[in-house]
Amino acid sequence: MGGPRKGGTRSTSASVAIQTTQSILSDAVAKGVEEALKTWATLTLPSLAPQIFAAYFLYNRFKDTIKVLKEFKELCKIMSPEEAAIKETERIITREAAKAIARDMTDKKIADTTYTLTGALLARPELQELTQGDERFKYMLLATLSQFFIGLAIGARDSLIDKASRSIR
Amino acid sequence: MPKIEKPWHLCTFIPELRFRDRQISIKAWQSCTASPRVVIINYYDLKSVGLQKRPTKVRNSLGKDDVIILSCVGKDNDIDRLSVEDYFETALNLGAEALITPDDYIYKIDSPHPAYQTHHFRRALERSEALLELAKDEFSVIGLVIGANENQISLFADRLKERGVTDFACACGDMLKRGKRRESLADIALFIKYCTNGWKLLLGVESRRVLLKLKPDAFSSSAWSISAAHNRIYRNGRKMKSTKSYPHGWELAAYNLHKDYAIRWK
Repeated sequence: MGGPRKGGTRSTSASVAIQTTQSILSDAVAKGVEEALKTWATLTLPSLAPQIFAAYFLYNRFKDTIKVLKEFKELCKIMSPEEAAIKETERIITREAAKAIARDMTDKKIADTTYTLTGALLARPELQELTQGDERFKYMLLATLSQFFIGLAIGARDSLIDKASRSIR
Repeated sequence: MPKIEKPWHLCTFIPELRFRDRQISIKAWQSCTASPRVVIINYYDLKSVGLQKRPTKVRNSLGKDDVIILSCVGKDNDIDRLSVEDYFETALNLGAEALITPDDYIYKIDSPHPAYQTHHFRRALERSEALLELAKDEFSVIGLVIGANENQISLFADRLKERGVTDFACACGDMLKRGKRRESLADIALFIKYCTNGWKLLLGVESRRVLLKLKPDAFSSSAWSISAAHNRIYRNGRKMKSTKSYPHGWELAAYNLHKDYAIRWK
């Protein structure tokens, strides 16, 4: 307590937390400002809206390209250019896949699809013999099975995203 | 659009005959000269007047060569009590040409309780499959597509297609009455989207604007006879109180029926 800090460059958990929050916040604010500017520009100049959207799209692609190039250069410092190219391609694919999964597989969508598919499954004549026409039993089976499948699907999605985020570090 | 081989494929309007208003609706239908003569009869409507066990009386009140399509769209309580076997038997006794698969109540408002909602979806699927199994050698089956979201509508349509159904129907009456018109139209548009290769019939619609927007192959409605029973006349696409006094209610119904046949949207 109160003694000198060991090692000049050692980071504390609090400083790491602040750095992470800062980077997330600044990214969010920057994105918000971009979106607001785009909307404001299209509203004030509706006749130029297609051009503004096209420019914004190109700007985003340009930003992504610069980011990829930067990462590639960083990787080239620690490995050969061929290895760096392979590693960077892997990163791009994983990043885009993770984005697509997070965008398309929301909890609500998973729940809707799972309930519908479970309902359809239980309506199969082969399974009707199992339930013997008991409506209450069917209802209970539907609720239980759906919850089980939803858990499976959400778990699988989360683990995919988790693995993807680990692999691009 | 499938190959034209069934009489209802030639129709753009198929009137629904209400036996609750039979004093006016049957006479109006008899005076109608439309061809081909295809009519939809609702099983629950027949039940409500106790005619489901008296098929000869129903058959005699129509023309000899009239084609009957039996439908099964009704109130929640009636749907709960439906027996697919009874429905099939009624169609057999009535000499119907086609059957529409049973309706069920799947409300969007139930989406916070998906198990309850899907329970009805499953029941609708089960009943459709049971009816298809019973009717496969006897009748043409028109598949009533049911669902509260895109998933359910697409899955229901696919399951019916798997079983060889090529004619599809959608019960729109209640959907269009519930007030959220834009949402309801979007749901019906999904039905049109997922049944692209089949013949599509909208039940419970008579608005030209809706038909222009959705462009089905045919539509069906009983509003012509309900309106006549309430002394309402179709004028300029609207239902209004009839100023002219008709000595017989059926004349008003016949006039409304004629107006429905005149609707064009293709």
